[in-house]
Amino acid sequence: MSTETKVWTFDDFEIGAALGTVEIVIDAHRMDLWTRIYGCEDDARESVPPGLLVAAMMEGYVKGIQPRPPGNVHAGQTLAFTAHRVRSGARLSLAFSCLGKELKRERRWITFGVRVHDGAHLAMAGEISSIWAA
Amino acid sequence: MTETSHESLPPTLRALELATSPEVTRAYAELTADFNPIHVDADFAAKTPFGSPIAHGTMALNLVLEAAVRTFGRARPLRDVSIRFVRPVPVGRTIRAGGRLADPSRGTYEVFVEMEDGLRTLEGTLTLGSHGTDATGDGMTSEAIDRETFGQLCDMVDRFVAQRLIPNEERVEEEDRIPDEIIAEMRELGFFGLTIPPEYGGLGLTSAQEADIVMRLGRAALAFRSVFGTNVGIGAHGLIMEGTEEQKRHYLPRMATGEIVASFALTEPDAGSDSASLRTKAVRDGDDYLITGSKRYITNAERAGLFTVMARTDPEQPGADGISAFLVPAGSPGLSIGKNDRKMGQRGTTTSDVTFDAVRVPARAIIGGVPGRGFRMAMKVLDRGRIHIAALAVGACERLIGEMVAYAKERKQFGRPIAEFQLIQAMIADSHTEHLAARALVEKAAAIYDAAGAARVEASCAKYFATEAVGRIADRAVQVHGGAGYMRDYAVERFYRDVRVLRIYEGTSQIQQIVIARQLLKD
Repeated sequence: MSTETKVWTFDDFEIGAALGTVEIVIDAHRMDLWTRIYGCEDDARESVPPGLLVAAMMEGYVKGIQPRPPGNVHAGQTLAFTAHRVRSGARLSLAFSCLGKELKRERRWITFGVRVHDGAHLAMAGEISSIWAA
Repeated sequence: MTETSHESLPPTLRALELATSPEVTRAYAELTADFNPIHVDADFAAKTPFGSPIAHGTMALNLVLEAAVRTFGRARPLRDVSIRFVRPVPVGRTIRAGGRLADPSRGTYEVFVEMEDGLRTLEGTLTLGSHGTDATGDGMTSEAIDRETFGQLCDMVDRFVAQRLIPNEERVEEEDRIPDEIIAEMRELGFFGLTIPPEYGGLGLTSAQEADIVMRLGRAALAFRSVFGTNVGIGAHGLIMEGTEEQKRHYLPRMATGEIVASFALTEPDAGSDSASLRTKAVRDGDDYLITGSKRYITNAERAGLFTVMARTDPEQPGADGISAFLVPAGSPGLSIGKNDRKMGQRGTTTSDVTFDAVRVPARAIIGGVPGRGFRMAMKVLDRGRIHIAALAVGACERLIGEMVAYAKERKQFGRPIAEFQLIQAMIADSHTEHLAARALVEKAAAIYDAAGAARVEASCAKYFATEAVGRIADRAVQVHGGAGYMRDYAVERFYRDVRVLRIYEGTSQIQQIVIARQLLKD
């Protein structure tokens, strides 16, 4: 990720550019927070719920692309889950990239790509559609 | 009969609600490290057009995912999700996630999240994965390798087929065995673990990916695929689908490397397609079972390290409920392998009788640990196995058409290439049409299998059509070659013999017809 303190603007993003990698551990505290919000019907749940990967993705997105202008809008999302089962305690590696950007009706649309790996295994890939504020 | 994919999915997702209280919103902010004041600072939010804090968008997205998880449990994992956020949710509102089945063949639901007043905050689609082969231990078949990696695998298979397999076809035919160095290369390339889940050392290919690879391999002499075919297919899938974790950990990693070759022992001298009448019995003896009986035409028995053996454990149950599936290591006392069968084609493959004379195995050798599920497991195994065989037939179609076209351009009669004669062209056109139709059926059946975890009718349709088509195409290929086609110097003569068995194993064409018709009549 950029080490500069300059706010990321629409013009800064290059299509196809890698935006860096963030590591996130699916620890017990994270699992507890998930359960507080969504509950858990399966006490013996061996793998983390898919939504927790989405939460990790958002943390990586927030941490990785900073500083950002206030007022960005998360407009859309695609997710592709693989068969790999992520277990509690896993250390995830989230790689972000800029897949596209486009001006539509005076709005700055940026599509970010994210690939979530658990070790060598791809666990989830996704695209975040954002309307960038500046 | 088991349910078809169309019947097996519920029409709606289980509804799930979430109150987006400030406390829940703050917990979600902590979970995502997203403390944007628009979510958690009322004073800040009051100065924005929203007037008050709004909930994180992915809080609603995750509610949909959780609703799907609670609807399907572990049996049907999520695969693809595509949504758009329609409007923000003021913190304090209760949101409800729901969905309705939109495309049963693909396992796709239209999903939404709405507030108490019915206003939607999120809309989109959610597509389920399969519970066929299982990278998770739960029956999941989503893509375990990404598309880029799979593309590289396809390229590698194409090169291997062109540079190593096809040039060795004649040698296999002459020696009636696959060269050791070819088998070693197959191991190195990971062929033995194509469909074994990554957790156990394989690639975990979906049915669609497996079919794609098998179509490529089908362009070479079919005997090559047979070396690892049982590890990729019927020899492994029972264990993958229904095995205990202990059983999987014990066997699958070594099957994925090819250290163990797995064999599927179902057919008997008096029980072929009528599997429910099989006679091999397993009699309880303390903590063990004693297996006695004979199995026939067992592929790879000679080199097998492990047999999946169907045996009747409950003599009071004459039908399917009395059959269990056992994992029996080769070399078990009382287990003997007959001499190799002399077959019409596919030289280099081995099939043999396998005899069990009071072979002692522990009760924990039953796949899944529960007796009486063997026949149903075998039917599930065959479901995917039929798509595999259909894909193999498609690959052979492609090779045969290539041979047919090349020969027609080269061979001259009456002073010009026979390709210019319209009756030759008709045979080529019919063959290509059937080839494309077979390919489409295979791709459709595999897609349904991956989406819904079952494709009983579609798999039978694909197997029935593709294997009958390749028989016709092989016949035309020989015909286009004329006298040369009857000579062993030409690949079409060998393929003509090799493809004949495709209409027989994994259920004869007549069994496929019965499966298809019964299901339609039942509906």
